Amino acid sequence: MLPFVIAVTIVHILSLIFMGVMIFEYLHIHEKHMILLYSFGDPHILHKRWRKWLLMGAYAFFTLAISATTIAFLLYLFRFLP
Amino acid sequence: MNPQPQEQLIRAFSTHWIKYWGPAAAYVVLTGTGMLLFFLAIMAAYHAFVLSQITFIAGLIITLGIHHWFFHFVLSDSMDDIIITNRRVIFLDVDLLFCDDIREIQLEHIIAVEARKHGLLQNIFLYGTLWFDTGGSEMLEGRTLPLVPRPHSIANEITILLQKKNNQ
Repeated sequence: MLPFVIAVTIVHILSLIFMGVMIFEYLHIHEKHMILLYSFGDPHILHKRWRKWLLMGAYAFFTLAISATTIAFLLYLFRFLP
Repeated sequence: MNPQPQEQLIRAFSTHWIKYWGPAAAYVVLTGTGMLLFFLAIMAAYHAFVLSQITFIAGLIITLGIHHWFFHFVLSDSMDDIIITNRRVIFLDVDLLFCDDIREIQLEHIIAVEARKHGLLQNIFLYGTLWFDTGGSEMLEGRTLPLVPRPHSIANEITILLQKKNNQ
């Protein structure tokens, strides 16, 4: 059972690290685009900033939701320990 | 990349939403497969515990893998990627962690703009390809913008800009 738990933990940790790296990169690239659009005087810049937070929020929420659900499944499987 | 003197923004927009269809369908199908594997893991837990563990790990990897892949695509493509000003056309090609390209075509190099809508989907959902003729005879990748929403209207706007520029 221990290798199984370790494998599941590693997968979750890798998933969270990947999410962090993606969000960091997205923030960096998005800000660069916003600066470019702002310098051209784009009037819709505020709406585009809201969309950024909405997308990142959805990504973080669903990643954590999948992790929470799979951990709940894991706890359920513990009932069948030999 | 800074604005040139007297440069004004005409339009900034993203490529057509049809680009999300394929990844969204793959996301739904593969997430469903992952959930099915979780269900099988629970069903097999009492009788075949090792098989249940393997199924569980497979379901977890499939679910998380497709989830990150889908959001990688959405975050990469959700930003505005076509910017038209009165001096140039800028195309931003972003693929998070892999590619961050900026292509620009100065209006003075453009001879003509061609808008193409081929096929049923492109005509129903009003998207197509823009090709900027800069003197070559081929449709080179650097001079072509795919998945442009309402390409004929955009081509018309660029043509008006070209005419204004030629009259100056």
